[in-house]
Amino acid sequence: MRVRKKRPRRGNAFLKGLLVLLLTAGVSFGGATLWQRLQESNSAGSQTGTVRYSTGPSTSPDIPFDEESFQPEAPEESPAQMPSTSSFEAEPSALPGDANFSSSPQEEIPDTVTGEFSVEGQVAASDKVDNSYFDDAIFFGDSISTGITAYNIANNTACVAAIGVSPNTALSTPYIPTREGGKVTVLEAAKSYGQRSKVYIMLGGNGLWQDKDGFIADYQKFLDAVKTQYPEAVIYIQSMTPVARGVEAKYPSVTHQKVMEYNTAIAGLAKENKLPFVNVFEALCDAEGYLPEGVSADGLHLSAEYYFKWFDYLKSHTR
Amino acid sequence: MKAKLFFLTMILVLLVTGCAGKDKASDVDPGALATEILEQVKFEADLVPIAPEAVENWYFLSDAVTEYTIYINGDVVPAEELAVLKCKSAGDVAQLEAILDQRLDNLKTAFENYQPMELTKINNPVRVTKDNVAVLVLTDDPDAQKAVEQLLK
Repeated sequence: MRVRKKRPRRGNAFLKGLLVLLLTAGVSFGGATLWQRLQESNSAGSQTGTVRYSTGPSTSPDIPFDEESFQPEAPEESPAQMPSTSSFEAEPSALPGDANFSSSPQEEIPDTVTGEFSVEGQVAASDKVDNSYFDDAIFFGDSISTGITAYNIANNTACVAAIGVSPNTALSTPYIPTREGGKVTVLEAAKSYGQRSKVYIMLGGNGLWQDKDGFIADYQKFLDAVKTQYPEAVIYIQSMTPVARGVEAKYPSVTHQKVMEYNTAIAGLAKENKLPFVNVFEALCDAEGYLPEGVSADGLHLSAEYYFKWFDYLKSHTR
Repeated sequence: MKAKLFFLTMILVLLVTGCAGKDKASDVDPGALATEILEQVKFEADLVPIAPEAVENWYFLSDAVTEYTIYINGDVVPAEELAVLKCKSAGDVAQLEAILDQRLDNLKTAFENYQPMELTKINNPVRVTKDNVAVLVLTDDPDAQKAVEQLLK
């Protein structure tokens, strides 16, 4: 009899223990889930359930930062939409290179040596246009042009550029990665932007190893393809940018002399095609035609400040 | 009977803890973490944050990404970079890893015929993942991995 009475008690104790264990696990799991949901609902109000872009200030000391309007951290109440290039509405003053930033006063831009390195037939100075001029433009280029996007120089424009693009490879080599994991050529990638009224091309730095005739012949082929793809557009051919003294240590085929020489050839190509040649070179070089010291880490690529000089020049040299 | 109940209990406990692990989420703020990494890791370049509307030029983010902060070198060389991606829960973190893998593949292709020296850091990236956060750092700083791990602890 006693034994019979004890057995159910032990069973009851075990069942109670099991119940406690399950309840504890359930509460902790349910609580954690609830906590997460609360956090989600709290943030949902500010993030609209999409990506929140947060950033700190640029680490570049060269960028003339708008300190008053810059917010070091994206506030919870200023959400970004999903990073769709067309739908995102960025905080206009929270990013370096936005419209406010890029329209820095002319007097803050150091004097250039315009004139000394002018090329016959280049686009002459004109009334300065504002950033909206680039609304319907597209830029093609190599790694130097990638900085237009990286530094957010003109976030209203399209830029299709990649490391290594050269006149002899621009048509054939797929440089631009796609979301699906493949790669396409610059012109193929540009199709997603539709027709544009202005096309800016800057190529050359990666083709200086070629002989000049071959270089120009390849440039012409690319130009022909651009003309076909953008039959109604004004096609601006830009000069290459100047290089720093000693750049050949890092880029053996790139020298100051070659850049000067090939720029003259590119200007001739523009003339032959009756296209405007924009001599950006003269806006960025020092008195001797070099990229000034301290402007570039590797002697070839530009710092943010020089992208603004470049674009200020473009704005005041339009046709 | 006792053995059955014990077995059942163990299954339930495992299920509950398993689900909880999958939903594990850290409250790391990508922007704040990126700032700390920029302070503690040595970078040769002055990295700049990518504007959201331009991010697809570098990273193909998926719907799984809920927050992110990405810094790149606008001067291209050296190929230094910093990306902090965050998703809803640890169960989605593999998607963040895939995004970072794709970025590294693209960088390798871009630099192999351009500045092969840069491949050293691209082939030896700092990769740290914790719960629902994945970090990628490209730098020559030998202490970077340790520093990022410490920050994510």
